[in-house]
Amino acid sequence: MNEAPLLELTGVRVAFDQKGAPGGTLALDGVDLTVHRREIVALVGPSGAGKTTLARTILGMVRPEAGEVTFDGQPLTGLSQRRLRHLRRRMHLVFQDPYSSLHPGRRVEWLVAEPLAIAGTPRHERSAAVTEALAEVGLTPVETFRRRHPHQLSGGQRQRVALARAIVARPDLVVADEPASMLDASLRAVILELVKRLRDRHGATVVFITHDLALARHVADRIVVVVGGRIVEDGPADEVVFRPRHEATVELLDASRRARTALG
Amino acid sequence: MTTPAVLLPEPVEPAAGSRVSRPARILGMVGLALLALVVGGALGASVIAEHPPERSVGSPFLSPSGEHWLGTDDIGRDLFAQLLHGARVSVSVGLGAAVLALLVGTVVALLAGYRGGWWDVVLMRLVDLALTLPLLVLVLVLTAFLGRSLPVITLLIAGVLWARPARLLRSQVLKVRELGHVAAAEAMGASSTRVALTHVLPRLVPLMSSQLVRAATVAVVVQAGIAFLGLGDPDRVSWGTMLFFANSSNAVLTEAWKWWVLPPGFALGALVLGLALVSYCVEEWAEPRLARNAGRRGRRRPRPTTEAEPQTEGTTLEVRHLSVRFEGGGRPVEAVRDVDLVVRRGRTMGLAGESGSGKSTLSLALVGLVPDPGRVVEGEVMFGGRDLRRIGRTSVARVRGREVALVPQSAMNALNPARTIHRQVAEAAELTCPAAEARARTGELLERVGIPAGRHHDYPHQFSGGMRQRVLIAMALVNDPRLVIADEPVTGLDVVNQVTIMELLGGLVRELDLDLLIISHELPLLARWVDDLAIMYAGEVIERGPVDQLIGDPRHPYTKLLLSSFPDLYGPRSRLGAVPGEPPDLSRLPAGCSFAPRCPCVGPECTASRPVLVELGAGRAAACFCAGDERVADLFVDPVAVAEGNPP
Repeated sequence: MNEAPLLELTGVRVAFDQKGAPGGTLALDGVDLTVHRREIVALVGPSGAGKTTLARTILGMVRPEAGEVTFDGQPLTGLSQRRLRHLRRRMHLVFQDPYSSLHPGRRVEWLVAEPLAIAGTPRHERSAAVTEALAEVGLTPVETFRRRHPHQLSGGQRQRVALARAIVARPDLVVADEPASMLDASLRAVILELVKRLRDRHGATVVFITHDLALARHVADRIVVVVGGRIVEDGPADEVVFRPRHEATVELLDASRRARTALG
Repeated sequence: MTTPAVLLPEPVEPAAGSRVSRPARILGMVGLALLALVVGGALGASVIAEHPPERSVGSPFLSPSGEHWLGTDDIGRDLFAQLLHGARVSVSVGLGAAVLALLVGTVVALLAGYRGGWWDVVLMRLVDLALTLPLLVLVLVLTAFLGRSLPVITLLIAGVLWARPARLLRSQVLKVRELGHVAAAEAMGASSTRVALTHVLPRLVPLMSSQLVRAATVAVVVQAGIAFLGLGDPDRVSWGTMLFFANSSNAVLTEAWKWWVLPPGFALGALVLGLALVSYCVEEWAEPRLARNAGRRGRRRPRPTTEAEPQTEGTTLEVRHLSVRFEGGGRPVEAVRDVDLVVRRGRTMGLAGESGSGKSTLSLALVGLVPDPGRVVEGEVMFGGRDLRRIGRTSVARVRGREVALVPQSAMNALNPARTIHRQVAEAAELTCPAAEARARTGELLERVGIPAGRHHDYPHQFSGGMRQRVLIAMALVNDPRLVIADEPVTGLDVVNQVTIMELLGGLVRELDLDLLIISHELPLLARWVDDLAIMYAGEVIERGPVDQLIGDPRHPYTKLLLSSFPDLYGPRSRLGAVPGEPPDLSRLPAGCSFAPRCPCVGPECTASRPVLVELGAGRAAACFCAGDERVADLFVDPVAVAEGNPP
């Protein structure tokens, strides 16, 4: 990987907002992270570890108190709201909850075309991209699905709509925040496959957030363990699972191990 | 930061035919009819009434006749014409002022709520100010300065009415802002104008429409009030001015009040009542939760007429042929179908299933808590030697919480946010023992489930999801039940918390000699902590048996495929298996096997008839025509094929 990294965080500190615990506790405390192009990196940690805050910081939706976030060579801090919004069009966030992340009053075709509408693509050029993306995520027959409203779709189908939107957006970076955790297990594999495909077919870099190391290992090339607002371990997926170095990782592994029987 | 309470959507809610309940719909219709009457009169005033309203057309104080339907006033003007033309004033002022007030209110709400910062501070102080001013007095004073023409009065009324909708809409904006799709649009780099107009504004419409009707009602009343005080537009006849003139010529003291005072009074009443009824209906449409309350009816539960077979020796709970159906407008939903389930003494039972499998409805049916409009239509729930379906509501309520305890789903919502956890657990304990003893037991038990004494008097919001789940467990155990039913006790928790809660439950079972039924969709987790397992799909138990055999050698294709969809921690990094197709729609189940549309092993017999649970020996059973088939053992569905919409 001689190319310059797509994303670089150095010494990032983020304080809790007013809603969080007061008294100077930090949501992120000195995070250094480098993400290379076309890599799938899993951020793994227990709830409250700071994974989501980290994701929001990467997207420039949370401004760090200290430290620097650099996206494709461009520092995010100090950018105007307008410039930041423009840069954000090259990133895409896939949400955990497919029930609330889609506007309930709009049809699938509008929802999938929204990144194009935001980018100012002319209306007649949007339709073909939507058709292609819906077909790719398996929402066929496309002509039926594009006219549906979110409430006419199952949870799995809604998450496919969200992923079709990610395809249409053609982002350099996709942040997927536990995209399968609210879905039934039987639908999980397809969603994870579609997330991987954003890298394999569309060349996106993927940051994948989860609390389950086993899942992280199946999806990601690299695992970054986040605990208490710090990165405690960072390495190739199998390396982290088979030869953990930090005790927090060992603890997570232990929980993951005890959360399952040897199957089938 | 924290994982939200994850409620896998269980489609127990029947497909609602309409968003508004029947009573509200009827009242709304009556309201619309009243409004139609008034608006019709206003629009057709010049056609229907033969006389002009503001000129003298006959002798004064005439009684009603064919010429003058409501007689004439003190200077011989036609009262019927005045009534109809008066409707124009009321309708136009009501509508005009309401639309203006809502327009201003919405813009203020969007600026304050969505832009925030200084906009919010300044605008909301203005709203506070506007809300504290005495409305009627202010309008009266200002008309004295600005004149009394209708447009001025409309503007003034709007000027005092905008604040209430502005405040309500702002808090709605704050709520909508937090919704996922708003955050999604922001994350895609949408401008704030775009987000405000396409994502926030449409979600305000229900509240806006109910506020519009409300504002119109107030505007009509205020306008009539002003006119009655003689401060209205002197050139326009309105209901208020009719009453003003009636009052000043002492119509109340003569016969004339019947045709002079009553008609405008009734007309005003009809308009306001019409608006109020419509607003009631609109509010319910905007907030469908209100409808449940209105549409609720006590219903007698049918009790079985035949004698139940005695409960099998060695079982704590024996469920036979239990079926639950939801019927409320639309198609009936068979949430639980002919389920047999046994919790054996000393063995923990696990019930696994995905959304729509009916597992949560089943758990509620066991303790007589099936939510409206669902009902148990068949079956027996044998517990402690009697059928809980035959002993009546009050007796079931006595069993519940004492002998059988339910740990409810969603630790986030099951606790009262306004009371300390100690108080809530102690309250449950007071069902069976005196207050002092209840407090002591509560302290002990909270400590046992891992909540340190220093935190017993904290409030639910001060605890994490895992800690709240512990509180619910303590609450379930406080009356020494024999059977605990835990409904999705670890849903929404991270892996570390999941394991801790399961360990806690396991430990308590041994220590207190309880029997436990755990319901979960986390199959691998469940499998580690239970002795027996039942898998549900589309309301039926499709496979059951001792856990090791069931997991090691699943016989139902669904069980096999479901197991392949969980990632292995140390196994080879391979693709996870998929289950093709979509979860079942309980209101449109196929005629044969309900898994047939998704099943790779489907054969002609599967679509023709429904397979029943067949005993396979060693306590195992599966409901599948190919349960003995070796194809099931090698089943695997590649998610790539499913993702492309080409399941095998």
